[in-house]
Amino acid sequence: MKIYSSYSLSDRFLTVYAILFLSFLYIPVLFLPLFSFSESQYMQFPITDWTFERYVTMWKKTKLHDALFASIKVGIFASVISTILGILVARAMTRYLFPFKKSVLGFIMLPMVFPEIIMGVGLLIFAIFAGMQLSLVTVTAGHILICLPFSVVILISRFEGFDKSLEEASLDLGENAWQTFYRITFPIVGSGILASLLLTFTISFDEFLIAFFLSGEDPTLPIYIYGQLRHVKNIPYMLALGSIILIVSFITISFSEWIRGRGMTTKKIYGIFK
Amino acid sequence: MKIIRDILISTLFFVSFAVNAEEAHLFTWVDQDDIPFIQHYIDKYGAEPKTSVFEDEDEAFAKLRAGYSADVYGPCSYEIPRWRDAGLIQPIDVSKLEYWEKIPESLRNMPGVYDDKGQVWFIPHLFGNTSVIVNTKLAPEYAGDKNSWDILWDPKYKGRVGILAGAVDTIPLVAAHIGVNAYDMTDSEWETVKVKLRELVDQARIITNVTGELESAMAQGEVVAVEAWNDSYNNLIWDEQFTDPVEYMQPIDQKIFSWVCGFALSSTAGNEAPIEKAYALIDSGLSIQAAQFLIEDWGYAPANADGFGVASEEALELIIVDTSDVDAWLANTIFQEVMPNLDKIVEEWELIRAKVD
Amino acid sequence: MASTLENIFSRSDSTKAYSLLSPSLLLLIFVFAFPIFFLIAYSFWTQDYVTVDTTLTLENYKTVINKSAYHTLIKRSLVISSLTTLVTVLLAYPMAYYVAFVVKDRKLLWLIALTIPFWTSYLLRVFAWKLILGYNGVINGSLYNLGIIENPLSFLLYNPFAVFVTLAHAWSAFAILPIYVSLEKIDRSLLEAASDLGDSAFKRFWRITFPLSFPGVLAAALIIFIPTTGDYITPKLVGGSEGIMVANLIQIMFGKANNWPLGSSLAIVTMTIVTVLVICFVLISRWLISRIK
Repeated sequence: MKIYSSYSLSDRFLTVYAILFLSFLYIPVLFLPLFSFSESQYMQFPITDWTFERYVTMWKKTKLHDALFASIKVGIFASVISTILGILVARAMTRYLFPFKKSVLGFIMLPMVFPEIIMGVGLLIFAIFAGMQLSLVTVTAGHILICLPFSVVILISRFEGFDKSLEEASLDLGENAWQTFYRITFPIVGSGILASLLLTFTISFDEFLIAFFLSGEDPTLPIYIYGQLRHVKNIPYMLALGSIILIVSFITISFSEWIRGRGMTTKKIYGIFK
Repeated sequence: MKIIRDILISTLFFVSFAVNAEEAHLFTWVDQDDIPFIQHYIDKYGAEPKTSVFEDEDEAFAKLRAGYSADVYGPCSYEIPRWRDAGLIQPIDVSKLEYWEKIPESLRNMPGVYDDKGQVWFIPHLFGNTSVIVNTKLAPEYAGDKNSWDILWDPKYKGRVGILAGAVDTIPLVAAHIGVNAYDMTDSEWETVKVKLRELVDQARIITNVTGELESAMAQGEVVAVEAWNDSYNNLIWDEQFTDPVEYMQPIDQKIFSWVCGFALSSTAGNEAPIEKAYALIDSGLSIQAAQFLIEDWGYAPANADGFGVASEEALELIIVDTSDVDAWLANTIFQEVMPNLDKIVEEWELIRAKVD
Repeated sequence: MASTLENIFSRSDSTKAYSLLSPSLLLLIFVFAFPIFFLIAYSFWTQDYVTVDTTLTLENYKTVINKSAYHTLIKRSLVISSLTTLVTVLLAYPMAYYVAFVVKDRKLLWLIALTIPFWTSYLLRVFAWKLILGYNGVINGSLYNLGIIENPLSFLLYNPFAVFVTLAHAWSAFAILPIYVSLEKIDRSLLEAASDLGDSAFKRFWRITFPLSFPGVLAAALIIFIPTTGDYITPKLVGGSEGIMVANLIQIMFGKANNWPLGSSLAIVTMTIVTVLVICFVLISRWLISRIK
């Protein structure tokens, strides 16, 4: 294995590269919290006066609470429904052979790469046609569409790594389908379900464009932030809010990924990218 | 089992999204839903009205046409024909308004308020201007009696000016500057205006409807002049971090623009909340507290003339309107109206603005 | 009840599978397929002021195809996203290589650390760049304080350059995954054999690693190219005038310009062009790679 002797020159170069890359990825985002501590109302660097005030007073804005609550509502429904649908899809994909399997999977995954603007305006047109009032319901529907592919990816890899014979044994032993699911399947794929819930919730919570097109009276949090960012005076507060959101998202996703990764190799997790 | 679960979920879904719709709903410009504008309503009914806001009228119009609705809208006068034709608003019975009489004659009779059948479609609420703010420390040659919108095209300040993105503001301004009346122009005149617009877009550092961005750029010295409304001027004066002298141009070579914004009654008013509450919302905006707030906090002139009597001296000084004779002052400005073929003009302007045309 | 369920579950594989898939497929049909269908329908209609005329017409397509302004706009969007894709994939490849070949124990940790930023709010990440590239932002502020510049650099923000940098940063994380997966799949023994036969490191890379990782590179390129052509937020926040892209105009058509049919046809035309380009790209690259092998 002479090519893989540790710390060869190329290895070292790559390590340096990797660290630089990781920094490039994270450092820009760190400026958000940094500027939220600036006393000045204009975004000026370097920061001379520091204050913690924004983090305290931002909670006084009632519209923020409404938007936050709206985002949480939408996020919960979107994540639960897309996870449930994801479970069904994953099960179908991993347990059965059927015609058009690849096409169906492709169709379900399409929203993941499809330009959001086109989905947004399409949904807008369709909602009007169907006589639906624009509201959080329409936003949720759009979010479920976007979250579903991600839920499917997570759950397919989970289901694939799970031995079918356990289910067969249970059925042989006299349990019916529901009991089997509840007592055998569910606990094993449980971590995948949790990971899916967390990831889809975060995706929905942070999603801007579809919500922008489809929301009626109640803005979701990203829309609220976008609106506030357009007021110079409010930018620092939004940076504070944004920083909190970033940290929470970071923690949630880390947890989700960690759960997802337990007991699985990376090959299996990301195997969906054929 | 799954069906039951689905039904349960759906019910919870819709129940949780149900909204209590007892109070009147105001859909207006950002910040025009602040407390002083709705205080009168709160005093009367003991509850806050529902409010939602828009950044610019074109977006508001698009949203309303897409099915959104409220009880009272806050468009500016030039929007009224379009909103009426789209069936979004209904005539207002001014006898139900407390403060209608407080509005000066010239405003009450301005274009957009009455139609030929004598019905009222628009209640003026506040009026202001569109002109250019100049930093006279960085551009002293345009100070005082050398005020001119030429600064926007001055090659010396290329990349150091900011303009409003709204077609209703910028296009008439540019047209007027080359002697074209944007409210009645031929195709060839429009082409000449477009040439001037292209030059302007080349010169501009920022093109936005977010007035805060224009103010911020001025305050940091990023730009020396911005096309703006009066509240931006006041904000810059009141800004403690920014100390450069600024002037709100009243150019020697032409008139500046005035616009009047106000209220319109939604065609769906009375469907959810009782219609008296919608009228109360309008009155609330016209109230004396609102009028005072407009002068002291925003720098706009309220339609309720009593407001001039209660506002503070300093605030009144900053208002560029001649409060001793509002009617005459207004007559010396150009009223912003509807441009014919607005949709086409907007499309072409947006292409110019994107620097693809 | 149990026996009926048993009966359902004992039917053929296809039926079982499709009954599981049905809710999702219904969702996709109603929330994805129908909207796109309506979008296409709208593109053949016309709107005048406040009324929509549903007689079929090619008017909108003619406008988009004939007006050079729209060509410029679409071209600009394609150029920006192509450049972004190219640079992002180039930057991501060594990173993916590192995790696949150099990292021994903590691969999952690295992957998580690399992809987490992507799941956080896109809006905020774009805004962060506004803070960095702004007139008094991080770059200008630092350079000024270090005495390197007298006046703030204005070319950093409000142009295609800013859009490109912001997009590249936003999508870097996502590009790594597909490349990593295909690199990871490569049978190490192939590389060992080549080395035993005397191939240099570079030759091994070029003739074995790279071609075998190509599906991943291709996937990464598509995953970045397609969504970025239709990006709305980045051009809007940091693009200024010159950086405005197709999605912004589409939104304006549906908003202020009040011409949904024209907006729809612009969307369809853009989508078609992107699809055609993608297909060509896939075919050409597959052919190129087979030449290397």
